[in-house]
Amino acid sequence: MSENIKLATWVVLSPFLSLLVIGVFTRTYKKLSALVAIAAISISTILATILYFKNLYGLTAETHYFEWLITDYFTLKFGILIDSLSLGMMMVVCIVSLLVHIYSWGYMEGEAGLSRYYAWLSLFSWAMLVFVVSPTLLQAFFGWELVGAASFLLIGFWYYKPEAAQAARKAFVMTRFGDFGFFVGLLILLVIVGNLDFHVLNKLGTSLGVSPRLITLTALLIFMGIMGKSAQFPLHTWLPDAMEGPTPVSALIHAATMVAAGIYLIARAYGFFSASTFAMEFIATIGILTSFIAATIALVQNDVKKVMAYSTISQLGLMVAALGAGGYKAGVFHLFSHAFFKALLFLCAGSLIHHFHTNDMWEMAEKGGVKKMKITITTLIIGSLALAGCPPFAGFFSKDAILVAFEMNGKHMFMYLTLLISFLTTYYSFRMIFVLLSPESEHHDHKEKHHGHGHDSPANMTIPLIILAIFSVLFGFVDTPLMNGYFDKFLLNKHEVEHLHWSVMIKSFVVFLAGISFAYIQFAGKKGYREGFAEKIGWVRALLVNKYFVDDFYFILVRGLVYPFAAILNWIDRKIINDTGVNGSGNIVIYSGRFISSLMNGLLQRYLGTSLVILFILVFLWQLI
Amino acid sequence: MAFTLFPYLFLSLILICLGLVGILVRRNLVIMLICIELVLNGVTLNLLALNKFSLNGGAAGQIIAIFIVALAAAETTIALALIFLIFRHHKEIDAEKLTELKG
Repeated sequence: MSENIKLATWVVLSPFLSLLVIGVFTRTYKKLSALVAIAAISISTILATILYFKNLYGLTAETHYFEWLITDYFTLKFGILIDSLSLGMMMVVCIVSLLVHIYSWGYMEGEAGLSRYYAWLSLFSWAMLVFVVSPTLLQAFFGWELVGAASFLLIGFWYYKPEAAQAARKAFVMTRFGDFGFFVGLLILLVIVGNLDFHVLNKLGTSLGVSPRLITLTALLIFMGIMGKSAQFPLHTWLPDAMEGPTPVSALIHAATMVAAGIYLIARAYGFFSASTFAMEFIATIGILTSFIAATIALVQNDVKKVMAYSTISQLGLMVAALGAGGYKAGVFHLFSHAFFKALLFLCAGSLIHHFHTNDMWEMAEKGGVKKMKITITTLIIGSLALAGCPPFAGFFSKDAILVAFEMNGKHMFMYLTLLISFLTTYYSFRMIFVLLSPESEHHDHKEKHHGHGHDSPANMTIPLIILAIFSVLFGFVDTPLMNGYFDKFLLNKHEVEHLHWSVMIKSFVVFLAGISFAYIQFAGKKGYREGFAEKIGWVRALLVNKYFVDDFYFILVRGLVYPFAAILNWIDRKIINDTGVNGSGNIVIYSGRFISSLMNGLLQRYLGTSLVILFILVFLWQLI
Repeated sequence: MAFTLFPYLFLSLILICLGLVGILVRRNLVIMLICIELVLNGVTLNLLALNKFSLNGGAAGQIIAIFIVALAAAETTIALALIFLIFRHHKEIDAEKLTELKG
């Protein structure tokens, strides 16, 4: 085992140990559990940082395997794979997770199930790290499912709220539905290729004896899992509902763990996916479609967390589209930068919700005092600028990379669609900002204004915001000539520095200005509820408010198809398996027992008579022999 | 008048059968006990007769017969004691009404 692998092993194991310690020892001490979890993720972060600085310019893949199951046909392995991609992702996961852990200390203060909360945060981080360092598709699948289970537990953290329980169930069932495809694809690969190592899968396109159709089929099946996990259309509806969980959890789900897993899997098995042109086309199309749909739905949302949830889906769609269109670096870059600013946005939203006890942006504006939460609102604006792609924030450069990737690969349609989506993104982010900054209404009396207003959230909540804001401002520069194209060097080991693509940058800047000014005209400086342009057209509004009727479609589908089918299965189970099989065999015993018992009537002479008759019969038979 | 084996065996068969029928048809425990004694006597007679008419002589049958008599005495004592207890407990010695062992 090399040094790198050893470090990576401890990065992964540390949250797991915290989970065990909390579960076994410190369950009843809430603060101690929180400290254990924070310490564990800090250790992970520190080790990951050391690992990163040891390999500042990227590294070629280093792998260590543990064999798990060896048969004549295949060998199942677990292990640790460290290369530039997994190292970068590990850093992102650790940093975001650490900040969320610290932030939760303030946000979840006084919560009864704090130990449970931190145990599951540890589980979540551990699962994601297991997934990130996995060298085989099988381990990736294990981590993938663990991430799903952890997010189920955390979304349903307030399980006594029916909406939260339902949202958790929905998230679990929808992602499981996609994972079914993933698992089938994995099994097909296991049976036909016999090896699930990523380095083998990535060269599958060039190896002999594997038909391209098989690759297309399995790639699409695995992509089904990604559609579920990374909330791509039409399996995206769980993500907005998952807002029922605690806000720091939403930040974690949306930034570093859970939804990032799907994008990371495409990047990890990039050679495998790009071996099939059809699959790549499909992935790109689904991505851009998702992005557009989610961006439009976000236009009419009033819940700050819902706006962010749809923007996440939209950004994930862009990443998927970029990867599908051949922009490997662009997709990964946007994944990393998005992780920072989306975590920032969610934590800001958490800070607002913590303060106002409501999710609705109009109500927040009504109550007033947003402006007095200086750190929160400043970082929220920074996050929104990064999301909207304002230069020089992180989102600008990563979105720029995506646009360049589309242009270079001749997908001009995609590029213009992305510009349109950027416009919508800017518009809805600043709709939120301008609404929050509305002038305060006069009818609030002094006492109400005084109540709890005029101060920001505690330091353990604002410090993570500041750190993430710094990342959101500066992270974009890693891909510019200013830092000698550091990101290319790190990820792709490419040494020539790419020049800036001015034409694309200008386009995207113009789009940003258009979006922000449009939002300014419609929302800034006014009081009370006001409609955006999308809400003014009746049918568009109906379409968007109902989220393109996808949930209703599922509802009808489930009512019309799944329930009747389930009823038939239920009948078979009850009548045939239960009543005939299980109860039937029981009944045979009961009735035969009752018959024999009826012979025991307690009459001595009957017993004796019976014995005599039998004796005679036996003697008679003996005579015959 | 020559003694043959057959009348003895016939008598013992009659005794056994009477005893069995008595046990089966009578409901009074005391009568049933008497009938058991009848069966035992039939068996004893059977053994004695076979001993007398067996070709190799010996006294095995007679010895067993004495044993049976002795055991029958003991058995009757115990059985009567049991019946006595049952009567005390249930105020009843009708076999048809003593059905506590019913399944």
